[in-house]
Amino acid sequence: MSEPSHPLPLRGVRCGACGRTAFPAQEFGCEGCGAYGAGLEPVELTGHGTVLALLTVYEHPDPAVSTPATIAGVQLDEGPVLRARVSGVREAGVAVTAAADGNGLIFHSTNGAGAR
Amino acid sequence: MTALRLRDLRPVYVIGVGLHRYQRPTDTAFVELGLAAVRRALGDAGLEWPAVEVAYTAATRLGMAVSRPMLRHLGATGIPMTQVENASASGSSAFRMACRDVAAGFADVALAVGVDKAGRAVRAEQLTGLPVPDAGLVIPPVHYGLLAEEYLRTRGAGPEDLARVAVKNHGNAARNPFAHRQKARTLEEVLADRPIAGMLTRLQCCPVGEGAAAALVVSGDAVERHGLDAGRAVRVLSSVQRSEELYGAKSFDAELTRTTTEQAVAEAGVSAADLDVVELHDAFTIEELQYVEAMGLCGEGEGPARLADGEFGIGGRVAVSPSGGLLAMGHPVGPTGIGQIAEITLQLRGEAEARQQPGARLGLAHLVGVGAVCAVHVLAAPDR
Ligand SMILES: [Zn+2]
Repeated sequence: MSEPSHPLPLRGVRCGACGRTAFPAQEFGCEGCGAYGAGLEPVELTGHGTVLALLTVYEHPDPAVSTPATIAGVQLDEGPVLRARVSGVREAGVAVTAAADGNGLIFHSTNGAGAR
Repeated sequence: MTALRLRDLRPVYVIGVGLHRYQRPTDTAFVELGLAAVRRALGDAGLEWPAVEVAYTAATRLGMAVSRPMLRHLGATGIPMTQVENASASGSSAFRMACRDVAAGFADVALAVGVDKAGRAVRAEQLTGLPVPDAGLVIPPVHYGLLAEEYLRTRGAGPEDLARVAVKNHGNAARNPFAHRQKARTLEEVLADRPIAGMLTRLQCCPVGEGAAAALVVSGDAVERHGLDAGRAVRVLSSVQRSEELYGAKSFDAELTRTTTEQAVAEAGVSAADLDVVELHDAFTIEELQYVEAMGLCGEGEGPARLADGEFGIGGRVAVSPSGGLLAMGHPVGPTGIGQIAEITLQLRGEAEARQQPGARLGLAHLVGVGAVCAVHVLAAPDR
């Protein structure tokens, strides 16, 4: 997937009509209520979240994607759930913080050895 | 105003089904795959092609305008033909369109056919222009692998609970001459196979190849007019399709399955506990555990224990994926939803031979398509 710009800070939108916060930033429309365009306020997300699940990807059909790699489902403190690479995290429930490397977004354990 | 249910309209029956074996990619033309399935369905029904009044073709990787280059070889009768694409649920949606046409009286005889070849699919979600922060890693086995990790952790289940799904479904497919994988596997073989994503090994991921499936749907009038065998006519009690809503951090596949199945079972006037055979979207082992619970075939968290007890095997309380499911019968995508209808039709007629669930009277077919969409059909035996 192309990453059009540096991933940090994580950019989302808050809906002025229903209050829902969504990631990534977009003006197409709010999934909660349909408000769109100027009805969606761009917000910078804290990048703090909690790991829901993580695993090792052993095989990938695209040779450009290097494996093994560790990917996680992360619920951001503001609510949105996303999937991104993680480093230094071994179990679900761990607090993580967004960072970036040459391949884009990567989460590190907020308190652990992997944190920056 | 309350929306019409399928059962508010005239009765709809599956009168003929046919398959081309699901298999690894070959150089066989899609035309040959599709025609084999349609001709078998016509033969099974005792119908001739000119009796068919409308056709829906499910295909996902063959490009535009698949219907006529295939169906013209049955005779150019001028009937309306429409291609249906709904990812994994394409065949289910084509079948649904055929059922609705017949129920509403737009046609007395309708064909739903699914055909596909292996190949790259363009997914519109990748064309939205929105950034995807997963470094390209989240392909289907990774998505479901993450759900597996979460399921096992929160239910206190283990890798062998997942692997048992693959053992059951490969065992079923070993008795299915139309299955892509026809080899029974042991728990050890499944667990020791090549790892793909997290706990999911290769044998816990469905094979995506080629194949075809066809179903002929008719009205009661057509059964009489064409002198068809009403004793082999399987009634479609309900047809429900829904799309994803907002579920927070819960598994959208499971929640969407829950709401769609609830509605389909209610519209059929039955309860999940009454089901004898279920074909569900077991593209990955974790899905079967999630869906048997979401559908109410057992309580939340009870899937692994019920599976280990044999409740979901052929001869158990409710046979789940007696065809072998997507995991072992295979997932050629376009045909898959119609192949489920073919299996349930055979089961409800008592014609499933080595895979027959004893006394099968009520069946349910379920598919989830990326996006996500979900389609569920409930079918009843001729004598029910
Ligand atoms: Zn909103």
